[in-house]
Amino acid sequence: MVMDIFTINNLSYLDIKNLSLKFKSNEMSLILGSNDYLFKICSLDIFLPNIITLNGNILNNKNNYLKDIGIVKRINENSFYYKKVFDELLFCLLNRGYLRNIAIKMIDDVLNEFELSYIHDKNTSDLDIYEKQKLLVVMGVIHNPNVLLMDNPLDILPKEDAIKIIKILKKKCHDGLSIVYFTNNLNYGYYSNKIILFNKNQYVGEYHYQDLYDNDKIFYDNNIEIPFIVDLNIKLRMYNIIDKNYDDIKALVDNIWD
Amino acid sequence: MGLVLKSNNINIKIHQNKIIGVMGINYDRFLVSIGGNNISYIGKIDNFYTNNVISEINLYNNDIDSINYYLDKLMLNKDFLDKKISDLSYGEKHLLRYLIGFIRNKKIIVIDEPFLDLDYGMKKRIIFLLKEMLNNHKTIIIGSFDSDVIYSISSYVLLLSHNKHFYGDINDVFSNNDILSLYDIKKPQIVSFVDIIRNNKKIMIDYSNDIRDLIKDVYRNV
Repeated sequence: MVMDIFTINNLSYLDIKNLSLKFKSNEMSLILGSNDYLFKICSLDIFLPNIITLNGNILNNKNNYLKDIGIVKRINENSFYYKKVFDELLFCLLNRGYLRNIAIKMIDDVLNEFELSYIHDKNTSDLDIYEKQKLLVVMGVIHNPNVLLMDNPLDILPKEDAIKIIKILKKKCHDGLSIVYFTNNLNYGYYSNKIILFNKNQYVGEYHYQDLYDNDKIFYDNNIEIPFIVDLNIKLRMYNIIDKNYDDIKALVDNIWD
Repeated sequence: MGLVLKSNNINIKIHQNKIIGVMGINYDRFLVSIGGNNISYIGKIDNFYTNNVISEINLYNNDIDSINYYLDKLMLNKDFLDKKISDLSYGEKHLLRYLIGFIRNKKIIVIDEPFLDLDYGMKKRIIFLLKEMLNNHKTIIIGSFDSDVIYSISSYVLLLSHNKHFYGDINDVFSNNDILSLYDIKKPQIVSFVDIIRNNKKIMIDYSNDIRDLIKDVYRNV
């Protein structure tokens, strides 16, 4: 069942007063803004316990916060504490109160789910940066949180790998996960249920992917690039070459010349 | 042709004063391994040695005129110099890497994922800046996993795979299905559109990395 589970309130530190962002379970939301916006997850780290409510309760208890929220950031030199991948993942679970034998099973399952079983026994220092970034995603979801906050961690990966991970995460949405993905581009807009646009710390509006076809100017005005296929449709419509939108390039070409 | 790129296991002649794209297996390791004294490398992950922006920049250049020149080019305020690196967003960190790369004033600039974390406005600014640098006898080498990125800005492309490489004109390479398949490279979306028109409709639309030019060409042919 889709329901409001997650709200970010009191965004006064962003010069945004009286705005609450509501997020639903089973959904992936993009929070989108250009480089000059400051609404990013490092701010959420500080304000998270005070501004987020989950199922109506303020998340001001550290244990609840650890259990209910997953956070995935970009890889850096301080991302890991342990030498072994297994120990890093085990800590994620023991720290949240899971028993060791259950945790071991959960580690096997989640690595398998992300097609990363081959890194189970590796040292974190032996992983390449892409494997490290994928491991950070795994660490964000291994405890089955209700809410996953992602600070644009996937853009560093090859596009195909990033989309593969988004698809795995979307499956988790079906089990109730709410994903909030902070970004400055629409690379994953197609997979999102809603897109919340900010500019210079100001709330611009809430959109769906299909809205891009009729609101491209709003996005370009806010320094956000429109995906190629959407841009192509918009420009062909502008020249009256087509009269409806096509997601598939081949179907689009057939319509132009048939 | 005129410039020889030397890395661990490849020596290849490339065009000077052009933007050259690099793609394929371990392209990022190739970029790091390009040898020579006249190279400035702009990477995609944090490798800063100090805590704030100005001290990081001063590790490479103290010339305030040069720093201000490129701050202006990147449309960054002077306040940017006073910031702590830990307070920078991902996009701002990438701009700091650009700033450092530019002020080192080398003939060859190597950039891994040129548009990572940059919004549309800054992406256009970087494209303009890099093209402007070609007039100052620079050679720009950019690497990416994304063929759309490479096609949007490069004139030539180097494809890499295990023990082999292929170098050629951007349109010749990206319209060659056999080569792309051999190197496991996905065709840029805008090239796919043109190829479907050429192959399925037998209409010879010109390749272009500018969607507006492409649409005009389509309009002339409907």
